[in-house]
Parts: sequence; C-alpha cells; structure tokens
Amino acid sequence: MTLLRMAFRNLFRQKRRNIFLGAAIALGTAFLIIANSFAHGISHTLVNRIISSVSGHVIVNFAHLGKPMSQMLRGGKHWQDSIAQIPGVIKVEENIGILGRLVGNGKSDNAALMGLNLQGPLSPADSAHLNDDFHFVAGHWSDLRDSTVENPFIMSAARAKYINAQVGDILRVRAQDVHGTFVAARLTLVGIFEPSNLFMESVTLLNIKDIVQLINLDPEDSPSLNIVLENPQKEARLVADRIWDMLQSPWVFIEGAWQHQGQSLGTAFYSGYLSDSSSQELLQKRLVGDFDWSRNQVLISAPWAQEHKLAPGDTLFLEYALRFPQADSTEKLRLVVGGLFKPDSSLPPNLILARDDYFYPQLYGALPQIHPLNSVEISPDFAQILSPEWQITPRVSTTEDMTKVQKDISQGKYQGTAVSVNTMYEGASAIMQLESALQLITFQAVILIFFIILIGVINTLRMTIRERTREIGTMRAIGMQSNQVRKIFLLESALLSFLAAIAGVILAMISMFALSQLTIQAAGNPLGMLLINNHLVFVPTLLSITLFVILIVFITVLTSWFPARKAAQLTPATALRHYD
Amino acid sequence: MKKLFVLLFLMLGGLWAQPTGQALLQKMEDLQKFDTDMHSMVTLTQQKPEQGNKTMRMSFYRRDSDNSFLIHIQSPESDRGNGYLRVDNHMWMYRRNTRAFQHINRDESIGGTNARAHDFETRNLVDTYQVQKNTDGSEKISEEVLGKIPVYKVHIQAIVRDVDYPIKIWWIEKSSNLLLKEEAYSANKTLMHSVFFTQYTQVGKHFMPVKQLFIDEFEKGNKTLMEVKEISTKKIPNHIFTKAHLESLSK
Repeated sequence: MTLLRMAFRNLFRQKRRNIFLGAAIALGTAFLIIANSFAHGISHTLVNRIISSVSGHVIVNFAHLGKPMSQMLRGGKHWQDSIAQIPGVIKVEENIGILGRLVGNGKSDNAALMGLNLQGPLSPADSAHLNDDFHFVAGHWSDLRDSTVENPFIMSAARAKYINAQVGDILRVRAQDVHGTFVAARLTLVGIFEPSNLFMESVTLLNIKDIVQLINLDPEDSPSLNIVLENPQKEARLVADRIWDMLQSPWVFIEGAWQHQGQSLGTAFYSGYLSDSSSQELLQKRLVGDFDWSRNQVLISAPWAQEHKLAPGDTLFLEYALRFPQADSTEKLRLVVGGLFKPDSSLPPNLILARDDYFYPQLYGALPQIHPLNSVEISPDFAQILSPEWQITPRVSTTEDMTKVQKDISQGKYQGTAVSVNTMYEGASAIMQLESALQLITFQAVILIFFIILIGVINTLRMTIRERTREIGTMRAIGMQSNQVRKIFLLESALLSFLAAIAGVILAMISMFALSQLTIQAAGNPLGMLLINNHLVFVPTLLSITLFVILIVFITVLTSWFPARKAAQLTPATALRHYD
Repeated sequence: MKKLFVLLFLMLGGLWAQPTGQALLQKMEDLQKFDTDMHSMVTLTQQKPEQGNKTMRMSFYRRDSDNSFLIHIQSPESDRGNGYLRVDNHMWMYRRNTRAFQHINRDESIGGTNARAHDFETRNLVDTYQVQKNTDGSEKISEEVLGKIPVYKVHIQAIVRDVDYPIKIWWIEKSSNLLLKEEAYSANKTLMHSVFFTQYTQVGKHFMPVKQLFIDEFEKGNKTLMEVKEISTKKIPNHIFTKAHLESLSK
C-alpha cells in the first residue's frame, strides 16, 4: 500500500511530462475504442437491424418446383405451428416478397413488393421498430390495415416522386404469382415514408393478407418463413438444425384407381424418379426393354404390366383422392407408358414411375392424400432414385456455401420444392468477416500508434530513473529492497496507463456521442447502408473496452519492466555516487 | 323422299356445325407444330415510350423433337454475340463480354425485351388449355368477323397453373384454323396483352407466324413487333445445340 501511495505521489512530481504521455495513451485508447465500436456498429446495423428484421434469425426458404422466385411449399402451412413449438422460438412470420411493375402517373417502375404482418395487435417493441424504420411524410404504416381502401400500400418518398404518386392515388401493378402466372391488381397509396436505411428505399409494402391474395397462395400452402428467436446468438444454429431435421421429407406415392381403355386395372402407386444421371444409371439396370429417357412417358413395373397385358405406348388414366379437396375431391391424370422396369421387394409390385420434372408439377397441381407407404423403409438403391415430396438442401455454415446451394437451385438441380434452412449468421457470414477484417486493420493501426507511444514511455522512464538515481540510492540505503524499487516504477507506469486509458474511454464515449449526432445526407450513396436515420452507428461493448484497458496497461507495464529492472539493480553506493 | 331431305339436311348441318373446342385446339397445334428442324432470322422491334425503339436481330435454330433451341443475337452492337441455348430441360444464357454461360429459368427475358425464354419453347396446347364453358355447358365459341375475315372467337382457360396467362381469347380464321388475334388476361380478368398474327408462311404441311405484333395492354405504349425471315427446314446438325457452338459464334 505504501508503494502504491509512493507511486501515485511520484506521478505528480513530473506533472507536465506525465500529462503529455497520458494524453498520448488516452488518444490511442480513444481511437482504438471508436474504431472498434464503428466496425461493430456496421455489423450490428447490417445483421441485427437490417438482415434480422428482413429475414428473421432463422430463415426457412422454399423454391417451388426449383424456381427461386416461387417461394412456396405446397401443403406446408402446418409446419408453421410445429416450428413455433420449438423452445426458444418467439414467432414464426411468413416472408412474402415478389417483383412487379408498378404503373404510376405517366411513369412506371420496377418494385419489390413485400408483405408486412399486421395480423392482430402488434407488440410495443414491434410498433417501435416500425416507427424507427419508417419516418412518414404522409400517412402511416397503420393505414395498411384500412379495409375501406383497395389493397393499401406504402412506399418511400424517392420512389413515389419517381412515379409521380401521392397518398390517395390508385396505381396498378403487374407481377407473377407463386405459380408463375401474371396477375394484375389496383393498389392504393396510403403512406409515403423516408426510409431509415438505404435497403428500405426500394421496398413497397402491403398488408400481408393482401399480398397473399395477390400471389394466389392457397390457405394450405406456406410461403418462406422468418423465425424470430429469444436468444439468436445462442440458439440460432440449434433451432435451424432442429427445423432441418423436422423437415426431412417422406417419400411420396400417389395411390389411385387406374384405367386402360375403359377397363379398371385396380389400384396402383404412382411416384417420381430423380432425373440426374446417377439415378438414371441405377434405374437403367432394372429396365426391361428400351426406354426413351427424354420423353414425358412413365415406367411401369413389369409384373403389373404382365398381369394387365400393358405395353409401351398404352395410355393409362389415374384417379386419386385429394389431400385438400376444394371444388373436386379427386384428380384425374393421363399417362403414356414408355417402358417397363423390375421393382425390388421393398417396393409395391404395382408401381408406376415418372421423371421428376414431369411428376412434380402433377403432384403439386393436386396433392394426394398422405399414404402410409410414404414412410416405409426402401432399399438403398431405390432410396437414391425415388422422389421425396420436397427436397431439402444440405445445411451450410458460410455465406459462400449458401450461395453454392442457391446456385444449385437456380441451375435446376432440384425439380421439386427445394427447402433450405439457414440462420442469419450463415447468411451474413461475409458481413461478420468484413467486421473481423475491419477490426484487424484497426488493431494493426492502433498497435503501430502504441509502439510509438511506448517508445515515449520507455524514454520517460529512463529520464525519470536518471533524475531520481540519488533518490533511489537514499531509499536503498535506508532499507528498501531492490524488488521494491522495481515495483514502485512498475506501479507508476501501471497507474499512469490505467488513468490515461480511463480518460481515453471517456474521450471515446464523448466523441462517439458527438459523431452519432451528425446528420449525414447519404441518399443514393452506398455509405447510406451503414447509417440509421442518416446517423453513424457506434456499438461499444463493455467486454471489448475492458479488454482494451487491460491490454494497454499490460503493454505499458511490460515495456516499463526493463528500465525498472535497471533502476532496481543499482547498488546504494553506485546510486548515491551519481551526479548529473 | 322426305326422309332423304331430312338426311341431306342433317348431313349439311353436320358440315356447317362449329368444330368442338378440343378439335379446334388440336388442329391449331397440328398446324403449327414442326416435325422438322428449323432455322430462321428473327427481328424484334420493341417500342417503349420512356426508352424509344430498340431493334434486335437474332439467328434462331429450333428442333421440336427434343425441345432444343439456340438463339444467337447479331444486333444491336451492345448485345451482339450473346445467346441462349436450351438442351433437355436446361437453359443457358451466354454473355460475350464475360465469355460465361449462366443457367437461367424459363422466365428470363431475352436481351432485355418483353420476349421470355419460354416463348421459344413448344408446349402441348391441348394439355395446357381448354375451351371455357357457358353456364348451359356449351363451349364458349362464337362466330365473328375480324376486319373482313370470318373467325371463331374462342374463350380458353388454362388447365395447369404454371402458365403466363390463365385466360385467353383467340380469334381463329374459319377457313384455315390459323390464330389471327389473341388477348391474354390475368386471373382477375385484367387484359394484359394482345397479339396480332398478321402474316403466316407455309412450311411443308405446317404454318408459321412470320409477323406478330405484341401490344402491352397493361403498360400502355409498349409494343413489340416480331418478324421471322429466311426460314429453312434443313436438318440441323447436333453440334449446333451445344455450348461450344454458341461460344464459337461470338468469336
């Protein structure tokens, strides 16, 4: 304690020198904290504010018939309830976004139409979030609930100006529904906003119930899903893995009544085979006779063909019961036999197979009832060949791998509905890498600054020791041990760097507050995506600040070790003999 | 004698009766489906009020037997050398500047025009559309005069969901069964576009529209004129429908 008091008192003996040195350390600390908080702010803005609010913490994406823009799982609505039961899941939101052409007053423009979920009362947090994201020039987001106007929508001021639209105007939109069919609708502009960030500028928002109607989504179908979690950092990957396990698809067999030339053939099963080359090679080994793989014709099992005297070229009619009966309770299909194959014992002997790109449109056109055969164990050979009801893509851990999967989907690898489950961290791993890269650059710059500062520390200590050599001799003469001498110098450095670092933290906080108050007009500038409400975002964390302070004190003490040791090694006689 | 008159009346009545919708669609399809390979030069002239006129000239190779086609753009200069290739169920877009092929889906626009990749595919008409029915169960087919040409006006609707337009009205020339005009509607019956087939040419037993005017009824003022010239039905070698060939054309 005495040493600490002495060290503290010594600091004030060379006030000017220590103030300059402390100021340099404080400036370096402040720069380090500001740069780190800014880098963290970028990823916070992009990941937590933009990506998570647009896509949730976990994203379940559907590409109907392998088409990335047709985001729907036929008959998949019930999965929303199952996912909502997973511990940690706060809510499951439908994510609907389509591209369309908006015709304004004498001008038209491409528009990204998105659904805003306003079903039921919004939580105060959700309302606050919406108020934060949109600053309304006219109207309000709550006007999207107005059922007295036709398809209410809101858009950014810049877009509204481009197409000469004002609140109250009725505009027309042309888009494609989930099946790829063109749809047209009249939309009423009920709100114009200034977006809080660049991403919101191009978005045209409708009430989700209106956009569901616009894209002709059936009540039993599910659009892509955004899942919001209680603790995304901890739970996102676990929940995504669990959803991925849950969404493993069963086989699909359509059981129905078959006819040929007006004669009943009894019941048989209809399914698809994957059209990739390895599946065709496996199936080729089981062919009886020839088969033209390129034609839209079916393969029928040889025993069943023999039983009913069927041959290639015959036309068959299938009638089966629907899973979601509407106007009709059954569906009829017309199929032409192209060849025969030998099924193995794990499959029913009365099986008909079609290539997946021919089978899936028929399947999704009218979903059959779920059959117990869908969950039977199938031999490994046929398990590789047969079509599941939907096709789940592999789980990935980086943005790069995710892009690869998306490329596979757009290149037609999946003929059924491709189902992908990703977390926002996988989707934004490039942003995380950007943050790490920014922090690394900052850290290197700061280390360079500190190297220069530490030369100052060493120099200051050497001068101090030289000035106080006789004093060291006196203290040693009256009984102070050499390690106590060393400690007193180390404590002085530690105290100086600690106080300077604290001053640096305070300076950084004041600077960040001042910088975040500046309004930056970044309309049309890519820098705008780093801003929220035209302000810079800094996100300092207690952990990183504490680590920086410890690091600065540690480096300073380490640097002081050598001059302090030199002072401690002086004998009392040598020190007392010293004259400047 | 009276019986003979009745018989004659019934026979004549049979001759003049309207064809059934299914038969009409089948005839139209048979008339336009090629059983030979085909090569032609296609010119698309697009008129947009905000962008002015854009003319695109392309060489078009087509083989209906295996649904293959190849499009090689020859002008304007900005698009020259670019192309599209369809083999089996795969469709690629080739960009001369990057020398890269990109897998695309059927909805992709051709050279930024209103024409889309699947407009160049053949699709089984009778498996896609059927004639609409009136409330009394009769087919929605009526007789009209289009300009001075007697036509059947046929209301058709899609029987599958993945079509561009679920409802269409066709004006089909009575004497030839050729389509002269089409109006395409969205599901909520908004008129989206009209097409006028102003000129056909006979290729063997089949007919091919060589001048078509597409009018965008939704975004008024947008029009596209498609003209087909230099039609040849010589057999096209297999190597034409390959990526290597499309790439070599742009060198």
